[in-house]
Amino acid sequence: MKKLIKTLKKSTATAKLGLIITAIWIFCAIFAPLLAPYGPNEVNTSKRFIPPIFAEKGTNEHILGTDEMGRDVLTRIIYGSRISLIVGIMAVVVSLILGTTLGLLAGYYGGWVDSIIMRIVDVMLSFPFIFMALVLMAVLGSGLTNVIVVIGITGWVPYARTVRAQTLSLKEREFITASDTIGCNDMRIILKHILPNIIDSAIILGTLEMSSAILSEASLTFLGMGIPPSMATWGSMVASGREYIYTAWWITALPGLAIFLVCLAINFVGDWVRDVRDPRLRST
Amino acid sequence: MFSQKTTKSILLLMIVVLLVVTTACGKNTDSVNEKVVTYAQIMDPTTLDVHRATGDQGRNVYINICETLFTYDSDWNLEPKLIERYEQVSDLEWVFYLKEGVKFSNGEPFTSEVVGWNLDRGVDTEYPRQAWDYAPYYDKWEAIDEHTLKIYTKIKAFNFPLQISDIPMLEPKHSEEIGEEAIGTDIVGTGPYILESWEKDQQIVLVANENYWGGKPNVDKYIIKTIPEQSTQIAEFLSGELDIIEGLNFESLEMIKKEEGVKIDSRYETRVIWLGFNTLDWSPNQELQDSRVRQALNYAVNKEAIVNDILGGYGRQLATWYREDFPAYDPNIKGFEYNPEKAKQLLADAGYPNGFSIKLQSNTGSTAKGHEISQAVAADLAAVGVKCEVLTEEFSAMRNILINGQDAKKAEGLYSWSWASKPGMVGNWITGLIQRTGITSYNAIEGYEEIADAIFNSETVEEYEGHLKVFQQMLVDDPPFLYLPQLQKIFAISERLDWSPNEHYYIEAVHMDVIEK
Repeated sequence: MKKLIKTLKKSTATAKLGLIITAIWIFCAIFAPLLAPYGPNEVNTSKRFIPPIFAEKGTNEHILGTDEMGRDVLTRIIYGSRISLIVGIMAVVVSLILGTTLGLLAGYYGGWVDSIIMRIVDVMLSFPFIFMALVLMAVLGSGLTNVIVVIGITGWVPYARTVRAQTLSLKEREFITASDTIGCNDMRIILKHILPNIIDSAIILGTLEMSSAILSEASLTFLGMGIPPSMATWGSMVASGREYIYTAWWITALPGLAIFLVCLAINFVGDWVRDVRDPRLRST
Repeated sequence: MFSQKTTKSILLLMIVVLLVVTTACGKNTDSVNEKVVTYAQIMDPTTLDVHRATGDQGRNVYINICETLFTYDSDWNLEPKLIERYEQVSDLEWVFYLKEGVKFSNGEPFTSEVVGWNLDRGVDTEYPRQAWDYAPYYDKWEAIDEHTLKIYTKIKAFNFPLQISDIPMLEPKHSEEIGEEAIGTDIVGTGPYILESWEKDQQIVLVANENYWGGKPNVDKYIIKTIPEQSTQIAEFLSGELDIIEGLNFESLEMIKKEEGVKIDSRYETRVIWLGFNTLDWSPNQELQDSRVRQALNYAVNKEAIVNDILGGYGRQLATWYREDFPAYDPNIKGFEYNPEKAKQLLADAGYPNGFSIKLQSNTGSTAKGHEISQAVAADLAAVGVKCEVLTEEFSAMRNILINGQDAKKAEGLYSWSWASKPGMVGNWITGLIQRTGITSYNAIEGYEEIADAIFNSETVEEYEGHLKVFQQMLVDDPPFLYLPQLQKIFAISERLDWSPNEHYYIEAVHMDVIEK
């Protein structure tokens, strides 16, 4: 704990900003029912399009205004933070597990295993993400679980490539060849000796990829293929507000700002984690 | 390699060529004297085949190309168009005298055989659910001569001209040459416009028919663009790229009215929106078999709030969807007032004191505000214990689910849809929505097949109107739908156009003129 506090004190201004925003985001997600002034789906058609408090005709009853169904925008942004947190974490976990596993196998075994996996990587890289994601969502159907699965299985490639590269390097090291010599089986070598040495890189990559996962969920929901509109999500808020962009800009702009701030914060935090855990990965 | 002088000459030549090419390929390839009108709609037609198309998008296009036997005056009285006159010669026989000298745009003559071919195609049994009004009545035709046609009906139809007034006339020879598949994108008619091109999901271009029997129209080129997003439509309209947009949200009017050169108009649509109850035996919600449940859902929804808050007053709630202009309209029929307590009581009486769960398929494009209305309905239903999950479908996906989709079984317990017809034409509402073979019918409520048969087999006007009154009361006592408002359509029109929407159902370029370019 002391070490953590010391590290935090030494962090850059952007890292501190990122950590603060991320902390607020996670706090909102966890304590949404206590923080939100209204229910996320509390419809009141007589209170449609109330502007935010800082705009003309705004009211302190609805600090960030109301949307086309009279729902409180602040409440929906708070509840939407839950979806982005869940998707961000779970999709990254799926990608990390899948990518790390394939990267380890490709790097360790080489040969035809490596060839097959790397050809799959090439195929994945040649398809635009949104195209692949929309096709998968059309097959699986919309819903939170399916969104996590789709973003997870379309996002494993960076992990696989990073882990493969590090595995290729590690397997030539003496402690690995020594393990092999004394009769350790492949699984033991991979799990006990290689994985602990590469997992940091994968985790650092995961923190950086989390913002992509959140943006992907928002994009899919915006396009109507992600989370059903019965759940308050930032993507669905941006989508539903676009018809009223000229007359009620806050419905689209404010959740869009939330997406921007959270993704920026995650990137700042990811950079900080990388710098702290493995300064060698810092880009010049 | 070259001298400086030669190099400069070559560069100058390249610049000149570039300028000439870009100018020639530039946006404006029209003649400066050409009158062009551009209109936007939210989606492409699925087909231009006049006998298969459903929805406004197709009709807004083909009505300019293929004409009907009749048209309407401003009071919606039937007027001959491609016919001179008609007479009923017996209970089951009608004779129509066609207008002479009318030709299709490819030069083929408009004759009795052409009308007969079109009537036959309109009731082709390959498409049994297509809801043409005359289908229950029509038997066969006989060409007395080139411009005199006798039509035989299976049952007495005292308003038969109204039933066939709506069917557009397609040119048979060209249609048979190109084949069934191609008709959807290549139609030839007698109308004032000819289909020049159709870039899918982009635009359809119609050009004036120089040889139109009614005289060459004022507008030389009529472009129908497909722009799904209303905000994009508004932006293009305000920048002068579009002359007509319609189906606007009332919230946009304040902003649009501030612009110069714009006029706003509104008309009550013949379209009424509703939520359908799926009462077929495979319906995911067997609770809907009980009429008390269906009544309860109608009482649970605050329809006045929908009209006032969501539609901004641009709409009105009818008792059911039986419009005032339909025959034998009964103003004494009382609809469903907003009464959530009564709704809860009815649900309890039906055995659902704690409500139940249901899915509502809502589509995101057929009418402005359709999706918002669905969400408002879901909130009202939740207040009486009916937990409603709103599923969002694109309009085209919804159309594929519902239309002729009964066998696919993809419709949920509740689905949002709408229907429209010309005034007086209640027949296709019954054939399309009520009868089991209806194109969008998910209705299996007892008694409706019988009343529909009684209506269509009426021998006299009195009998016909009597059955229609019974039908109207049934729509309340045993509702097949959750009734929602009749809409007003809001138009924004460029003042360079000499045109206002009339009471006629579709936008026709032949009524337009450009005041200034």
